[in-house]
Amino acid sequence: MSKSEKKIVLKSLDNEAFEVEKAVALQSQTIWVMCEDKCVGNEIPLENVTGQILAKVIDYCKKHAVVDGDGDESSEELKNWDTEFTKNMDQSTLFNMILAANYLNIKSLLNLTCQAVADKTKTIDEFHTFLNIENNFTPEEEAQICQENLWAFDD
Amino acid sequence: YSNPPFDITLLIMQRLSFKDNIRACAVCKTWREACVSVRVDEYPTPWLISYTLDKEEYELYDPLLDKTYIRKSTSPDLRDPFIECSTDGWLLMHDNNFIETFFFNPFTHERIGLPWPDMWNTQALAFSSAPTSNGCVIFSVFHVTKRSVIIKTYCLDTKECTAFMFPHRLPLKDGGFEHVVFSNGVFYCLASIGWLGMFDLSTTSWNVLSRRAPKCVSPNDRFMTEYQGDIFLIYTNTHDLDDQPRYLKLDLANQKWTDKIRLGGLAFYLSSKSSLTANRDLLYNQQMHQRCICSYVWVKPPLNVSDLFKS
Repeated sequence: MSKSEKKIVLKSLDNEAFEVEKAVALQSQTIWVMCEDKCVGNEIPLENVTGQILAKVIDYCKKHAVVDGDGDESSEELKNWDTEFTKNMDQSTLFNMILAANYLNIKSLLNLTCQAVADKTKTIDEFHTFLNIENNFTPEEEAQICQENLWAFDD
Repeated sequence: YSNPPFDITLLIMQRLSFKDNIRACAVCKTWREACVSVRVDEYPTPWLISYTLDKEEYELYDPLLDKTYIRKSTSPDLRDPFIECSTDGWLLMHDNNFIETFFFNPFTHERIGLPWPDMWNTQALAFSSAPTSNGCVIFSVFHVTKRSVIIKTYCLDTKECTAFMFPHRLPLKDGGFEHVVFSNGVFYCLASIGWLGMFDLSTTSWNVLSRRAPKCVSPNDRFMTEYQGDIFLIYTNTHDLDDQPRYLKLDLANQKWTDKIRLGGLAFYLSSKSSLTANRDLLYNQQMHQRCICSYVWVKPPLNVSDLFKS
């Protein structure tokens, strides 16, 4: 395989281009299918992902590609890396990471980011602001739900 | 960004702790739907079974979805049977003439007969696990006097019946045992008068907690249940449901019942024949509470229950 075939270019929604090893990009099932079908050239446009998010996704894939290939890092270290990776992400980045992982079909990243949201989101208000969800309960309905399950709302 | 797609919402839901799942219900209507649907799979809720008098049918009630299913009995001797207890989705019961004793699975209609005709004549009856599992043991208190207690066990695998006699000196007064609960290899038997007998299956030993549990107004107002090795007593007032129930937990190290415990996220499903505990809070419902008192028995549904009851 020549050098050029080993590399692939991913282009974000805002036209930012990232050149990455094929092995890194192929962790995405979506990209894998595109390459298999030969429906794209060496440059793959990703219309749902911004450059800022794509950079992070690539960081994740690089880390995991290295480990899977060389096996020079223990799974323990990888787990710690994953924790650090999501730890300082703000809620909006995390949310966009979930959408990107879903679109690109990277199971382990989707799992990691959903878990991070589940761990970080604790109060009703956090759910509302983070996921930008409109509360469509009447105040009476909301009060009733809380009243029925006081123990879950008491701290 | 706007509302996430429903399947992503579900993905997040599945990763929430039980408590957060309950809280997330209050986010919006779509989320409540997602929370409840996840909860059905992750935290199965006990169902109530009751037999309709003089009819060859029984009712199964799913409290989570508030749905009742009527099932036809498969055999005439299942008319008005007497249910002793329930474990792992199975019932131990007698036909209405007390001729036969058998296991019955109300979800699948499976039935397993027992070669022990006088079993109904015992004071307390319980079994350790589903009769289809390995090592299922039936426990019974066969006879109690002021000086001794006779316990019989029946092992389904070996078809062996064993009797044990243990001397003791305990007051009996009227009534024998109120509840028997199996937990972590031990059968706990609560006497109506308040002391607790404990039969350990592995050592076949009998111990008694002689410090009595607090008195209750009527035997129907006290229940015993277990959760992951802990034994609980619950005192309710069935005549006034607005009365807060009282909870006690068994503290074997100090040989006492601990009062005023905190119960983060446990739900008790109480009935005199079988009380179950689950790690979730049932949406509280007065009607439910009243229904579960008399001849109703809680029974744990099998994991594929939603496939069995598609309607």
